Amino acid sequence: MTNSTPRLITLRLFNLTLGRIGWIAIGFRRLLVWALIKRRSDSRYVATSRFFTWQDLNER
Amino acid sequence: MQLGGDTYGRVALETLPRILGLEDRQAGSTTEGCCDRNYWHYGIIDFPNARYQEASLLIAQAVNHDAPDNSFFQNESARRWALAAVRYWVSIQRRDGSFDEVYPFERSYVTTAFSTWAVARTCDLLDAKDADESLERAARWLCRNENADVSNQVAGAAAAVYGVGKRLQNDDLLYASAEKRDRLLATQSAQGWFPEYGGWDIGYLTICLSYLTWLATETADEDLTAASNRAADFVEQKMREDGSCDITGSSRNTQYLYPSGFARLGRMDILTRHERGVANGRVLNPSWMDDRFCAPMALDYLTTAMELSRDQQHASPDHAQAV
Repeated sequence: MTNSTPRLITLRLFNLTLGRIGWIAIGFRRLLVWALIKRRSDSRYVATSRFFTWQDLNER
Repeated sequence: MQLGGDTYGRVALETLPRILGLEDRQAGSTTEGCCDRNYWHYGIIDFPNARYQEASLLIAQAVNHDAPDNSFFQNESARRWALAAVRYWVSIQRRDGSFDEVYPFERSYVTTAFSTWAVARTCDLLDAKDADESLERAARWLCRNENADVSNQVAGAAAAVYGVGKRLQNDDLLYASAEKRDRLLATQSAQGWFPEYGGWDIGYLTICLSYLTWLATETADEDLTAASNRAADFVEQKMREDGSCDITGSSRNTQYLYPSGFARLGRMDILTRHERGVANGRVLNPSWMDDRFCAPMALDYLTTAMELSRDQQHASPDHAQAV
């Protein structure tokens, strides 16, 4: 999921206001983990994935 | 240790897997061809930096570079990734023809210049016409804009406008490129350097030389070659035996050197020292650079290897020696 300017501005506004409060920041992070990783059975977000491997050269 | 361009080719090709990891190579993805991993994968920024798309030319050159141990040579997947990068470049162009690098709606001169040159050359190498309309719009934007304080960017723009003009057989663009070239040559100092925000800078001067020597070769321009040699003389004076440069007093403090200009000029006095420095791990090379600047420098290294390999096919330069 790519980011957009409105989404980024909204996120930063949240980070710098309510997100300063510890329990809200932790809760928000749990929500992100659930939405981007746990909820999905396929196409889960993995930061250290989709790098190049030599096998890629042989794929059509 | 075998020199003669081998080191440049090896370093560039070793960097390519890292650069391919920066590209979204998944067919059918909405960001297929985007080479800014911070945008398409991590999602931590809200727009893609168009400079990453210069990777298209590095991939295309690897596809065309017939060398031992080059697994990318004539590889169809790699060719497809290069073309995907070109198509993504087209998709992120501003309506006025420009591109962004640091923030949305920036209209970056350097990004428009350098990425346009790279994409035009990629299309030439891969015989693709996907980007012709966008290339013309970008070239026209470059004709309307200038960044005279920064010579390497002007050199890139002159090369880009020429590359597009030649590709599209557009005399207006060829004329505009010549005008940029004339304005740039008029700023050359008596010592041979081209100004970067008012002073000399070795790294940017060598980027400038990469574009100027390409342009000089394309146009068989003897004045441009002579000016490039004067600039190379200046670099030579600053270069130490281990291939690093004394940058004391430079205006921008860049620490790197783009070598392809010296290869085109046949300046083995500079290249032999620099290549030995790269081989010995004494000077900054593409793998030391961050993601943002890794691909353009690797591209210049591969270009250097290809230029030297071409020269060696015509002569037996004393550069190719065991050291």
